[in-house]
Amino acid sequence: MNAYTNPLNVHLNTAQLYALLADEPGRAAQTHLQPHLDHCSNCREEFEALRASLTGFRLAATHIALLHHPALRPTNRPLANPMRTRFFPFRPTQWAYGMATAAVVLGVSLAATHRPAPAANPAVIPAAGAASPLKSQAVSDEALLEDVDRDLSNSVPTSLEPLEANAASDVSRASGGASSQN
Amino acid sequence: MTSAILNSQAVSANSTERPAQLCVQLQAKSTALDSIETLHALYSQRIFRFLLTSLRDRDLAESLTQDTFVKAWAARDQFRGDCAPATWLTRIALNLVRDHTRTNRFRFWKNVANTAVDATEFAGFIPDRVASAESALSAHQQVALVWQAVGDLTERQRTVFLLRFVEELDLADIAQVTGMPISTVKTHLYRGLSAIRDRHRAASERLRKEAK
Repeated sequence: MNAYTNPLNVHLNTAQLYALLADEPGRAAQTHLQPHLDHCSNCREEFEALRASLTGFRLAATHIALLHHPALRPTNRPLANPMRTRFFPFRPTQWAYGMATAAVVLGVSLAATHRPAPAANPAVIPAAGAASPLKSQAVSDEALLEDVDRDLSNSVPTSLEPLEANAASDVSRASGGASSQN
Repeated sequence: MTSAILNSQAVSANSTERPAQLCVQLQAKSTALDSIETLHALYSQRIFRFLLTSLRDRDLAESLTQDTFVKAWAARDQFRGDCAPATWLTRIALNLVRDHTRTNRFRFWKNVANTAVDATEFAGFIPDRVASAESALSAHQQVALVWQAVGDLTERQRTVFLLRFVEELDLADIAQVTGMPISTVKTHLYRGLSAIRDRHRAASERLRKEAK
């Protein structure tokens, strides 16, 4: 008598259950395992529970992968080309931390190296200005700025000085005339 | 170029070795490897599912999915067509998982905690009516139970289990992906299934006692 046709005999082992679950051809339904399953309620219950669990597990895995798949997330655009969208061999969080650190380092180094510009010293700059075109340009700029300052500080701009000279001569002439009349 | 590959493969292939399947695989290769967009569109979801269930971390799974396709695209000339493109991609993904867990062994579980997928979230995708009428456990309980049991398996057992019962690869393909002999694959598979069996029995017994 086949051991598996009697429900009182040994229950199915893991390999036999796997053969039934995987539905391997020529091993399960066609041979002695299926008749045992038909007669043994314990094995049948266990087989059904395992089959339902594994089916559910696969379904859940598929659904959760669909939900979290980058191309299907509502907030993301479809991922057309992973080579194009993946710029750096880092994870996004690592990239963000890296960028933040770089920004802080850059800010600190800029603050440390920054010095106020030296005051314009026409006595010194021309000597240095002869050394390079950039310095000579700086000298000419400083001279121009000084001219502008001087113009602004004067009550009469340089460009109007000839007119002021004429006006002064007119005034002196007028005052001379008045004194001669006196 | 594609026709040249097809001809060379056809000549080198053993004519008695699943000719129809080989033909389908070669056609799949010629279409899938024409562009990285096609390759990604055809297989990214599947690779992401494998990585997500293996690593249980969304960010990491997403990152390694992209790495898989970048590596595959760079090495597409080495694909000989002796297996399905999905199997080849799964092998690349598994190597990336192994590299990652090897180099980040100490940081791995800490990182995983940030975007981890837990049993409740995982089981929430299954409606309760899927449960077997003969089972004392609800569908949510069944799926959560498998999720926890798979988490307690060794790395190899988990990989083999997922490749068989989630990715539905046959034993020969699993052996090819993992680089293990078929007998070893079977051993890991039975141990994984046995662990789930034990959990099922314990949970059912507990429920029965509570019902009494």
